[in-house]
Amino acid sequence: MKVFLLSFFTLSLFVSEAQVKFEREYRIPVDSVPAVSIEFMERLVPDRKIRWIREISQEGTTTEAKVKDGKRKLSVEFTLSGDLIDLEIEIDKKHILSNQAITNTLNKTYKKYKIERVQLQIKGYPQEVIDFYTKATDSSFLDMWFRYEIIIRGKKDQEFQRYELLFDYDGTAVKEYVIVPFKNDNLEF
Amino acid sequence: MRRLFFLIFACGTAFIHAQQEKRIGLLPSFNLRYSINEEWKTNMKIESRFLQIDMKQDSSDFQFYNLTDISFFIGKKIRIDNNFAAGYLFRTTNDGRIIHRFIQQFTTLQSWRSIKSAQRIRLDQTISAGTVTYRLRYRYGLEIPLNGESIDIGESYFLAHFEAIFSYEKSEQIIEGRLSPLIGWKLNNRGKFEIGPEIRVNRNRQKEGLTSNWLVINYYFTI
Repeated sequence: MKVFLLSFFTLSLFVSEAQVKFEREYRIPVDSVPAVSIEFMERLVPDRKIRWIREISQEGTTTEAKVKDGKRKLSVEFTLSGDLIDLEIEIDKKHILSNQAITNTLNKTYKKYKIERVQLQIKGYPQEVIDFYTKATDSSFLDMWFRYEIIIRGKKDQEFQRYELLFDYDGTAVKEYVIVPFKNDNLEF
Repeated sequence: MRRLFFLIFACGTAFIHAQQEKRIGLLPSFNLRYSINEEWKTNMKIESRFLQIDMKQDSSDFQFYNLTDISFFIGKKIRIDNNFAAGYLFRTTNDGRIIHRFIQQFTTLQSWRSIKSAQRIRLDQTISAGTVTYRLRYRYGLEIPLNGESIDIGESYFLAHFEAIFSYEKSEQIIEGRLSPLIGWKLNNRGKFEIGPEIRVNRNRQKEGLTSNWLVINYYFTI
């Protein structure tokens, strides 16, 4: 019954009209970032070069820190007052392909699809998130509240569109946004 | 930003001094796009050549106005990032010549983080004074925002095109290269403005050719 309800909820979310994703991002100087966010980043990835971004979307205005830590690409989102919202780590798409619940939903929702990018979205208290990140192989991984943010190229009816999807770790779909393609007349003509 | 401007204009100047026979001028264009629906769109472009100076070793020739190209395209989106378009170009010159050109092109777009790129393959057939010239063109374009992660209203961007053109006619084959580094601004949701040099170098089989340097001014408008 639980599985049935989960599947029903997930599918009903995707069958309904997807929202169009609105997002505006621009660089901001470190001076306009709250000290608590800077301190968090210093503890998470010491001595790394961080790009500070202001992000405005339908979910509100946030501050984002983008950083490369070795081969890992991280994106950390904060409220404007500096509180941690989440940490996103770009991961290999094979993690999604091996998640049966998510692939089932994708197979039922889209006639065809291709996964382009996967990010693991981790939420928790700042110290928990730092502990998780610095000891990523720890069993605490399973206790963290994490979600998958996935970008796909998918075809529901006639045409392909690019979608941003958010899944809970158990495969429950949380959000679906259509990404508006960029106007490219100056690259095309 | 100042360094980028310097680099662009230094590039143009270097090409001007590197060649003996050259042409310089102004190349303004107006581009109008109308989306019929999600899949189909039309594009109209008007481009003219003004203030053209042809410089030879011992003489030079100035023309205030040289020619105008008017082109119409209809394009179809194939999947998300690929577009096919077919069009017709009508050219009228200041000495009364009329040229007809039929164009077919396929463009594939990629984006990586905030950088967008496009590869375009274009075939065209030009009919002028009873002769037909066939051209195969490949263009690579790169667009980089200069004020953030995306190009928002009022923000600027760097756009570069590199194009290789092979032109075939019964009596002559020409190879041409074009390089165009531009600075652009997104003025509002419908309009974009771009300015910068375009360097064109062509050679025939006898290694004879022409180098032309244009100041390109583009305005793009979406209905």
